[in-house]
Amino acid sequence: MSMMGELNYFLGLQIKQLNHGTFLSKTKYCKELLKKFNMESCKERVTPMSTNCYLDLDDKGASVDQTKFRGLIGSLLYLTAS
Amino acid sequence: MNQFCEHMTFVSQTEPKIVAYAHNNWITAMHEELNQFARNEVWTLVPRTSKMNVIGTKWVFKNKLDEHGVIVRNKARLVAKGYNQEEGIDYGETYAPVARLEAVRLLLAYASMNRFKLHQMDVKSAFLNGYIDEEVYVSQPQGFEDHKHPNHVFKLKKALYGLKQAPRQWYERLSSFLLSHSYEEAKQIRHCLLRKHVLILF
Repeated sequence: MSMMGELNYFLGLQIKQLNHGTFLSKTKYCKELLKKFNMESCKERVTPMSTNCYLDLDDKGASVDQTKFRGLIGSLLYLTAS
Repeated sequence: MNQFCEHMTFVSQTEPKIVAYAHNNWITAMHEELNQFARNEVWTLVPRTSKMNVIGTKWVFKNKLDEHGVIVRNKARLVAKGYNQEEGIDYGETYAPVARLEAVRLLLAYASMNRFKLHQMDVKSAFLNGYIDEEVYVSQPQGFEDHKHPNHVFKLKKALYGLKQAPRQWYERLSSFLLSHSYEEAKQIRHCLLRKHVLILF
């Protein structure tokens, strides 16, 4: 058993404990997510998709890596739930 | 910089796939892991019989990174191939409760309200602490076979990483210890144990 000192990073939450209250932040988790999925250079958008476009099957397009995609969705779910 | 280079020479930069490719640093890491086994009295060497369902073991090598992504430690973990376990013989119940996210948030809020300072603790090779009720046999770790009895197998007293019952047995060990030391389980949230001004979440 070892002491890891004051709680400051736990399950993706950055925790800052001050005398008058506690701050929580997920910046680090987000940054690591972007790095993991090579999206650090992407621009931010409120809605990450055009709002009026027609969607159908893209025959010529390369199929997505399913494992990677599912990992990404799972990470985003955790981000919103935690 | 000097210190940095000095440190780098003690850490292997690559993760071997099998034991045969493992470098000196990894061999040290494997010894460290086996020391944990000895300390926890995980197993005893017994002769192999034909009735035993012997579960294989495997070394898993992982480089540990610091917050800047620099490799700081080579970690070797000996795991059991739990997928070869047979239900009813090698394991019974496997359900293990884990902390809910709501409980984490609640704990943070409660601590903040009462001006508690939260501290974090870590248990080394936690699963090696859980006692197992079933008779489970595992093969000798690759590269560390007993040269006098190469055909013997290990009979487990404690759980191993990879075994189906390992998380449950660890939960059992920790919670029964805490409950016997006059911690009380919070009624609504599992994994929140209280004693005066100490609140434990795991």
